[in-house]
Amino acid sequence: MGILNRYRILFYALGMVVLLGAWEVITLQPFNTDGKDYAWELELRNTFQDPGVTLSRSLLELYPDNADAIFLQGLRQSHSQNDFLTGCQYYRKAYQTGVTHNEDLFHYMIDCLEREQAAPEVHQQVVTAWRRNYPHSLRPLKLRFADFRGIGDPMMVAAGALETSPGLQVISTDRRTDARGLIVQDVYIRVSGPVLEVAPARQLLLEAGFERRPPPGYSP
Amino acid sequence: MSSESLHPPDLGAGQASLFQIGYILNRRGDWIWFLGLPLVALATALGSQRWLPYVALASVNLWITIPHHFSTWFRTYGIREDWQRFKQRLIIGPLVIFAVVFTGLQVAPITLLLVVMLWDSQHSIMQQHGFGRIYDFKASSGSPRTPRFDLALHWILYGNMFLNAPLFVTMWLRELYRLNLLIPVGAVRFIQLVSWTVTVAYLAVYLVHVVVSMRRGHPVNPIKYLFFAASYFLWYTAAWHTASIMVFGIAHRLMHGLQYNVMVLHYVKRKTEDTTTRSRFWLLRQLRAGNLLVFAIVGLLYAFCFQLITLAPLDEFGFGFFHFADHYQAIPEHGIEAMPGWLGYHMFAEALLSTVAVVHYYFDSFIWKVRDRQVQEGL
Repeated sequence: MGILNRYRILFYALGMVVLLGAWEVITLQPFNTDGKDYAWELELRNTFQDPGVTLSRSLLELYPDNADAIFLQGLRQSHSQNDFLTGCQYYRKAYQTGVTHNEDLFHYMIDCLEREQAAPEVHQQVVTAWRRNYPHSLRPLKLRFADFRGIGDPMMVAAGALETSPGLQVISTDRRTDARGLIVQDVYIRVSGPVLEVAPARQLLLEAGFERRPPPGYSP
Repeated sequence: MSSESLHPPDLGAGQASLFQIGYILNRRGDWIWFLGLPLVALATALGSQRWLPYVALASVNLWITIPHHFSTWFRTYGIREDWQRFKQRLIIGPLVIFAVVFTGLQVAPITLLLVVMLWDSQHSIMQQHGFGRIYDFKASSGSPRTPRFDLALHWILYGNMFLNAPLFVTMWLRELYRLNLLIPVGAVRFIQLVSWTVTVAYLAVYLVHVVVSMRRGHPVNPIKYLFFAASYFLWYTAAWHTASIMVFGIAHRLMHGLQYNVMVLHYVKRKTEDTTTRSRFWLLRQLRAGNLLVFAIVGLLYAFCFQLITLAPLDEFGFGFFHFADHYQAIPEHGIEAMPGWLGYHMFAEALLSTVAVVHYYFDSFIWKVRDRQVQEGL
């Protein structure tokens, strides 16, 4: 009894860890051999899908003006429509509340503005806020171009173009079709430090052979 | 020693003053650190939200929270008396906690996150309760039943905030949903209604307890209640009037960390005034005595910490035979990426951070018993 009493609080904590941990292991099956990621399936259902009781729906019902609830609504809407831009109005609304604790929100806002070809100063404003709040973030910035018309591998060319830009490192490029059916070339850049000037980096890539996208109203 | 002996015997109505003022430090010190600090901390947090980036929260953590953990080590391992009294727990506790945290990070990270969050809350409650007990101890106020009434008051007030404030609800609801523990909105609202009902009812009960105690001749220390009011004003305001964990985190950590540091310094100073209890520089003595094993352990620990601080690759520890990066997958719940090369240190850094915090919670659960005569000597 002496040991039980002496280590009482430790036993309480361990008891909770064992009970809840057993539930977690049984539910999420981190060591399963069937190759399924149950944790991700739950995350998908809770955040992105809409099968009834979900986190996004529950939070929205409880706190309709909460930035996190609005952000999750954006994720759910864009997932259900299979269209990233559908969520942008929600990300914008959440961002305007001024919260800074959700780095995802900054990232989605920047992605929205890049895809929508927002005014450079508006885009820069959000990028500046992201770097100021998360100067150590390793998440890449995506710049979108129409295509690559230069010579050689786009990734190597982009890396060479930004070689002299302090704190910028091209980590990948991706050629794909956007929501309007246009071919686009995305360049992913890892940033170091709190300062990131988008316009000069974009200009260097344009000069290296990446093409400027047509204005938003244009359709093929 | 029981808590009863801390209080004066029943004197009967009219034989003692209704109010008895007592301070933890002194009048000036208490107004600064225990009554004024919560307000300043809240203002600082709101100002930080307005003018500082989110990374400021990490800075507060670095400069306030980490040193307040150090204060625990300073007291537990630095004072000979504490070391001798709690030796077994001071050795076994950190080992068990590190093993559980390290295993938990890999096997059940959401559980670990929830338990650390809950223990952090319990730890915060107990700190304020402990200060309340010191106020009663210093003023010889409160009845023998007041400690239990106070403890219940803290659990109910803090619990009500935890169950109702959007800031907290979004956090625990998210973790429960991740564990597939789906609580419908109706159930959440019912829990919140019950919580508010219990809170209001208990406040009435508590008021009756205070009045009855006073009528029986047990005086009240008004400074204790001012301290409670200041603490809960900070917590409730930060939890309800912002949508950001940044404001709550900065305000809470400033109050909790600084008050803790002030208390430890006061305690150690009082304790070391007693010539029978000297500061305990065990490690220094070992080194002076030429204990090479201790020297080697300290050297390895220093190398390990240095490696973490400089973000150098952990693979250098393994002489090329052991690659940390190959062994760990991503843990999104803790924001830990999979281990690409130099990021391998994240697992160890996270384990160390959680372990240090939890060991601090654990030690505080037994070193600060106000009913303990040896603790009273330091108050």
